[in-house]
Amino acid sequence: MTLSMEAILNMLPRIRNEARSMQDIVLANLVAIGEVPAPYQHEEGRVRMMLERFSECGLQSCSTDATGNGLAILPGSEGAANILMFSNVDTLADEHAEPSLAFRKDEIVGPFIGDNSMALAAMASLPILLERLQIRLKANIIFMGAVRMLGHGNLYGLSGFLNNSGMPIRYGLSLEGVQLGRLNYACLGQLLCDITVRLSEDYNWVQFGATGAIIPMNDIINRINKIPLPRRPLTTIVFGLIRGGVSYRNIARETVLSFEVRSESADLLNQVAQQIEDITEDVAANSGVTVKFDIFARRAPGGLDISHPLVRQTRAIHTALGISSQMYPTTFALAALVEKKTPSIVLGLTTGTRRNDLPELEEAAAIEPIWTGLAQLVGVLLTIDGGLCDGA
Amino acid sequence: MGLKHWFAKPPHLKPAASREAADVAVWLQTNTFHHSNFSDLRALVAEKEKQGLKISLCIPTLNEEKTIGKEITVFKSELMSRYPLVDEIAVIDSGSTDKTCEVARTFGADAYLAADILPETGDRKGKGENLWKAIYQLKGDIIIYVDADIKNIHARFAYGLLAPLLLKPEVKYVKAFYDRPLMISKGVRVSGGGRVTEILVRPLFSLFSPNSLPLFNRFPGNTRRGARFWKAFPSPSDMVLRPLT
Repeated sequence: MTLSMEAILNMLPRIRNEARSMQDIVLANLVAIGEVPAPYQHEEGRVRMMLERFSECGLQSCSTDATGNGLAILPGSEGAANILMFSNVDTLADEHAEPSLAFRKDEIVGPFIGDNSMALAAMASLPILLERLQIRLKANIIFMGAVRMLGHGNLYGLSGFLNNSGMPIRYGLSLEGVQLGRLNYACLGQLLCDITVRLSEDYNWVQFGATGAIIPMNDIINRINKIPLPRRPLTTIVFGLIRGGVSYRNIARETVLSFEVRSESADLLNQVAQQIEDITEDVAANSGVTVKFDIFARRAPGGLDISHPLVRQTRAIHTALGISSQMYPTTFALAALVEKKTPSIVLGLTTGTRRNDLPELEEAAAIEPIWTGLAQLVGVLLTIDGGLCDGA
Repeated sequence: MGLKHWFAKPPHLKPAASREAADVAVWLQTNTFHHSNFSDLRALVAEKEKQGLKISLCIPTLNEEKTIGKEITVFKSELMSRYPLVDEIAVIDSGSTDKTCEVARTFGADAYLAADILPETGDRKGKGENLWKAIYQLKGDIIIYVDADIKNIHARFAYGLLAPLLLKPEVKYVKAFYDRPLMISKGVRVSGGGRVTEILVRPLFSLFSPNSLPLFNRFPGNTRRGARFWKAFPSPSDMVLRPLT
């Protein structure tokens, strides 16, 4: 289906209205998918539910690949090119948690809606929306619920698909539940790291003032925090998780710090990594503990230029829909596509908030913006399919 | 799946101790079904259209704003938009002081106050009142009743009740039963919910009609066929299900 940019922009209000008329289908998909637990490495149930939904829509090749990803294909009229639309299936949930969503008049509240049940529900609903709009693309759309993406998964599902499927991907669209308006077209370089401080076997437990593994870790954190980081190229360190010890009065035998180093420069990443390694070795030498510094994911910066037609056309779609584009580099899923030099962007579906009146993992997602988010997706698909994003 | 297979596997029941109990057991074996036997919704829709029936889904409510939106969304999506099995979803409300009716309408259901239906008959609060007035308000030849506070709501709660009525013309009433997990401070007990049944109904029937006991399992949703048929029956309006404190 080839349309001019003007024709696509003119269609957007109709697409949004059609999406709104599907409220029950989209939100029921959100319940069906979002209430299936999908902790890291145990995503099978949620993948099965997605495949069931895709199968009901009449999509082809609804199956899991060798990596465990849920895949389905909406065949295009010509099928010469493939557009990959994907989102992570796994969540940071506890293995035994049973997510439950609550509906309020204007919003849905529950765990992991923004990351990423809403995105999965949008994918499961999109084939129906396209059918209702009588839109058939020339290109195939490959829908993928990607497994083992978060944390130590290190984009395992997406990388597995890109490396093993043998399907050439012309464009990649990474979906996130929130925030509507995000337009990530480049990714920062990234190091995902763990530092483990462990007491040595000959540690003197009975010595008064023995501090265990917490104080050396505190020393390491303070010293990492003092590493000078430039604003250009932008470089930051995000301390994400710390754990250790068992109780008030027991000396902690082990502490683990998980953090991410981000930078626009690959050289700076290497420099910071070297500095952290020096710190850990110094602390180990001076405090008699064992310190292990593990970089388990290392990704180079890259992505599209802001002037790439895919970015430009998406901004035009945002403007036509009244969305304010939020453009910033990301560190997550784009990285695997950037390595393959596949033009890709990240888009959000709705607006969401984390509020102090909600439990730690719960978030609220607004209902009304979802229809704009879906219209945005259809618009971007039409511009890609019409060749309006080629020729960078 | 062909319709003839839907009744092929009756549930296994323990051997009966007396003749009367054996009759009950046989009846149960041939009249008890599991929702999973009816998951072919396309076939149910075809059967409904063949019989030219209208089907209503009624949710009796009192202050259910926290759960009603999700329940209506799931039923509307699965049983109206995807598979046109249900023609009408309606809330019959006992006079909620929260936003139950507003939320219900927002998510696409009709919402009626029980007090506004047949006002000449009076206004009594309670689930029973909502159930019988629904027969006069709703348009369906079959009415499915489902509670409003089901946490793990799924379309099977409705089509599991509906299917025997569609497929067995002699059936006029279907009653659901299921294990009701009880939330306790240390987690979930797989059974133990359904306090009206467990504390009142089961002990009473144990005393006065022990052989009928298997018929009275729980008190959740039910389905009735034929408004004219059911209008002839009295309905106890004073039955109110509320947590015991």
